[in-house]
Amino acid sequence: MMLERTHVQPLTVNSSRDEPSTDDASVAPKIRASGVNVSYSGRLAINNVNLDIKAKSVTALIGPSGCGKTTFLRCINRMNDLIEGCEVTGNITLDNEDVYGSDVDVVVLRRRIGMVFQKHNPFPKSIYENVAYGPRIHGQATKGDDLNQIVERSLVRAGLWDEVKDRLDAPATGLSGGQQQRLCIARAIAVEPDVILMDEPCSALDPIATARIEELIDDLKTKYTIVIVTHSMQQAARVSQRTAFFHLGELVEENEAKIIFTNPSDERTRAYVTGSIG
Amino acid sequence: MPGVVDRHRGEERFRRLGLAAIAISMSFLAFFLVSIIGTGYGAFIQTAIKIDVDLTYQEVGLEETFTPEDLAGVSYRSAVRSAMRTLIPEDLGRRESRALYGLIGAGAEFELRDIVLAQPELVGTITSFWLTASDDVDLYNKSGLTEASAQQTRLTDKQIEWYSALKTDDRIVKRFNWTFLTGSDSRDPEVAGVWGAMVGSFFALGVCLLLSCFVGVLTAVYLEEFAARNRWTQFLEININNLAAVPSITFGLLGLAIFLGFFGLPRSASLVGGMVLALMTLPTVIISSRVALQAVAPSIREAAFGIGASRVQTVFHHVVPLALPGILTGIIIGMARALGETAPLLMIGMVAFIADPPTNLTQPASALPVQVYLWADSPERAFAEKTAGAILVLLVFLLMMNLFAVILRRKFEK
Repeated sequence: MMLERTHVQPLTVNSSRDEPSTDDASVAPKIRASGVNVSYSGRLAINNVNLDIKAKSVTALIGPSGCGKTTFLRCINRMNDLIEGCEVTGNITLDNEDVYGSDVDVVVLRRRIGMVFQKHNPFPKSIYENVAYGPRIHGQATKGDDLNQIVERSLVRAGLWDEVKDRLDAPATGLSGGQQQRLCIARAIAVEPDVILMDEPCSALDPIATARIEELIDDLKTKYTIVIVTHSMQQAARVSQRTAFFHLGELVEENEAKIIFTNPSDERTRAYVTGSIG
Repeated sequence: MPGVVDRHRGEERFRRLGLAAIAISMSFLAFFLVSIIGTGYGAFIQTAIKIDVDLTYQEVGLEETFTPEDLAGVSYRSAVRSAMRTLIPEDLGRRESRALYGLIGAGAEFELRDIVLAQPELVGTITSFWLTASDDVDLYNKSGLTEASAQQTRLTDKQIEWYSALKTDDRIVKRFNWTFLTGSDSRDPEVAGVWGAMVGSFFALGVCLLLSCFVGVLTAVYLEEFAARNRWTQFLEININNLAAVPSITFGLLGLAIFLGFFGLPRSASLVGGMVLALMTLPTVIISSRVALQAVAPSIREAAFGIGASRVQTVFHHVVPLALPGILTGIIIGMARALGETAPLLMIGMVAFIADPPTNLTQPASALPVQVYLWADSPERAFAEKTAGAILVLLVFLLMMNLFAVILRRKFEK
């Protein structure tokens, strides 16, 4: 099949040799993309991407600007549906269910696959309302107490609770950039998703706020499958277990983060991680 | 450095030109306001004459016991006239008597009747009443008695003589003209008021607000948030933009043909007026609402979609609330334009002489700008100040609406 002709296949074999116990071939991937093409008004943005994403781990997508990593990320929760003229072909499955199937309700899909955006974008409402909005529209909590619990739990998990517990009714836009981004993460996990997609979540933050988010990502991977797009190779190296390198709309190579950054098999990956291109 | 000097000179020149432009526009505005207020303030002041009306039983022709019907049947005109005659001791001929009665307003007998009906205990006494003077006396009294105004007046020398006698007798005062705010249109300037026109305008604006709010805002939300971008929506967009530039009288013709001609709705009704104004306001409301919706950051939509909100939830929980200040401003500006609009109302017959304020949407009604138009056309000189007065009332309403828009925007932008 097509899958066998890509770079992915031999490398997966490679990695399974390192961790034979957990990375067994029998463990089905959380998300599987096969032959994914995306075009914007006829212009091809990503070309034949095949990628398996493991459950409860962090997968980083790296690559130079315009390489299609964000486009690929937005295919997973069908955010690309909102862009006029965007066409997605190929197959993406979440727990072996076709994400683009005709019986899939995007509302349900996006509850299962949360997203954190490049620019922190809390709703211009109170901190409480930001977190409570998702559970409320999905009917996960109707009573005030249940909702309060969800809000507290989500904020605790996002590492924001201690900073905001005294001012839950304060406007979210009054928080610092890093706090706002953690609030967005709290908002995403409030609806109990399986997967969290993060689109360059630290690109607008200072190093200290970035470090806090990275710690948080490390904590969250025990519960969620995380896919993160990042410009920073250091960040990818720090937070991800597996790293995928995109270049010019193609998935060049995917492997354990360690291998990608120390001993990549493709020349383009080597050139990017050593800083000669990108 | 010659370049720097030139550049500074250029900036200075531009600054002065800008100031001159502002000065010109402000002076036009000031001129307009001064002339309108200068003419119009007189509409809010009226002249009253004190007369002693003999309401004794034999004089008004009532028994000691009388019913309210009897009281309503009394000839208050002759009561007023005999009271006028007692003011002037001379013996008057027929023609002179008529000149004397001309000093008191045409509505004086009705004022007297209303007072007596409200206070029947006045019957049997001789009581002093302040009753509205005629428009000629009113103008003469307000003109400040300069040489020029004395020549302009329509009062005869004899009437001026009587007027002076009454004036020295402290029987003539100026007072606030409530009639102007509580009365409706009349052939007699001294009893004409803007209340009827205000009610008509209020009804028409209410209809217009309802229609343009629902239809306009929903259209804007649909086009901006739900409709696909294709030839068809582009075509709609171009047409809406064109409609905003269509002369308002065209909407009047459309209303005449469709609402009156086809649907057979009543002529001159404020309902139809409101519908026609809504047609005219819709493009404005749609365009400004769309601009307000476009101004909402796309990241908010992404945030809502990303958390699994449906399109309707995204739009009505997040986008519309954020766009609300802009939408409301658009609606109020549209309403203010509709309030000042005359031409489409002329086409559907809201230009008739309406002496009673409408009590429902289908009754014949007038509107403030139409009232201005009607009075401006009247031959009586006293209507000139009524016209300016009505314009002042209109301006006050427009000012209030704009103020309301500002307050709303401040409130929602917090």
